[in-house]
Amino acid sequence: MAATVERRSWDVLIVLTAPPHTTDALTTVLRLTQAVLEREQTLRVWACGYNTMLTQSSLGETKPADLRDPATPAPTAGALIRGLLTAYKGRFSWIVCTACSAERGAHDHIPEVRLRSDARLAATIAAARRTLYIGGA
Amino acid sequence: MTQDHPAERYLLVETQSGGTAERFLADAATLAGAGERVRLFLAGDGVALGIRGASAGLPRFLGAGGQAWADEFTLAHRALHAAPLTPGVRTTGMGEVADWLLEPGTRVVWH
Amino acid sequence: MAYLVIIDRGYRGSAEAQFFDALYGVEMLGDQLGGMDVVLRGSSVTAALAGAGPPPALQVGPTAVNTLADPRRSVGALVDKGAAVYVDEPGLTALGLDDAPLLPGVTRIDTAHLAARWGDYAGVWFL
Repeated sequence: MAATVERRSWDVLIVLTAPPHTTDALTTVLRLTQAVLEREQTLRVWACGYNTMLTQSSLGETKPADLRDPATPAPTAGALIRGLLTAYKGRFSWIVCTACSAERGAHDHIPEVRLRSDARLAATIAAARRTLYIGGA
Repeated sequence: MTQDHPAERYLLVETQSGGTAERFLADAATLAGAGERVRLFLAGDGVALGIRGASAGLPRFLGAGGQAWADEFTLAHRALHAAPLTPGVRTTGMGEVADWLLEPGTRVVWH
Repeated sequence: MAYLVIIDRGYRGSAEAQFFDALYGVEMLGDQLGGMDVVLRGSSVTAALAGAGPPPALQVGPTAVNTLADPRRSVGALVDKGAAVYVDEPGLTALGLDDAPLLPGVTRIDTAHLAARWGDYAGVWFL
């Protein structure tokens, strides 16, 4: 099969490998994403490693309750990502690396995300005007 | 400086502190000393480097011509507004970081 | 017999973990284990500061995340329930916060000296 050629160019690609629930890497990425999208730019996140687990459908929209305040729902990271994908449809995309997903048994992602093989990483980078690589996996 | 091809500029993001962060600051100082335009953004654990006296490498980077900012959100989130910053370190938000990121010719290196 | 827990790193995923930080875990599990005394070090020392105000707003797309952890509220709750909370003096110094006022009930100490009392605890856990 011929290699896929990206037809569209994106302003920013963030490759996120640092695991969630460890540092504020995801928080910083979401904040930067918000700022870039507010400037009418386009941005994709390539989610690697344990970030592939954030968009599983099984996690739902709300986290398990804060027992000190169970009436206040807290959104899951997946819900936050879905909210961005909905609000900035066409300008924001969240790509889940299928190799990392398979390694971690992260299946059944929310339909708004795209699944891509790591064999397409180079093409995805080539389709971006600038790439930020966040290590720490 | 010619505008025929925009000079490259660097946006460095430091999110860690400790020994490997000091090495990144040394990288930053080398770039600044070579005449590159280098903006350093301290976020997450990296804001600790911006506290006065906390880092040996940050003043060297500033002295080499680099510019540094600490993340306002992180400072507020970690209740660090009372902490004294290294002279020359400013504060900013993600909006300005996005503006820098989007400038043509900007290379981003994230630690 | 109580446990001594040492938290030397905070902010482990504000957007994804939100309220569920290490101090929340102590609030929820401490009673079950016979009580937990707390040592705050590193980036967690600011959990002991008075007058800090609530966490800043985090807006992600259409969602205002107002369920971020509030470490100072957790420390207040732990003090109220009788836990000993110690904040590391060298840690405060490293952040230029020697003179910063602390929450009521928090003890400022070089927490390395507490090691002499580790034997008083059922266990010493670095969270």
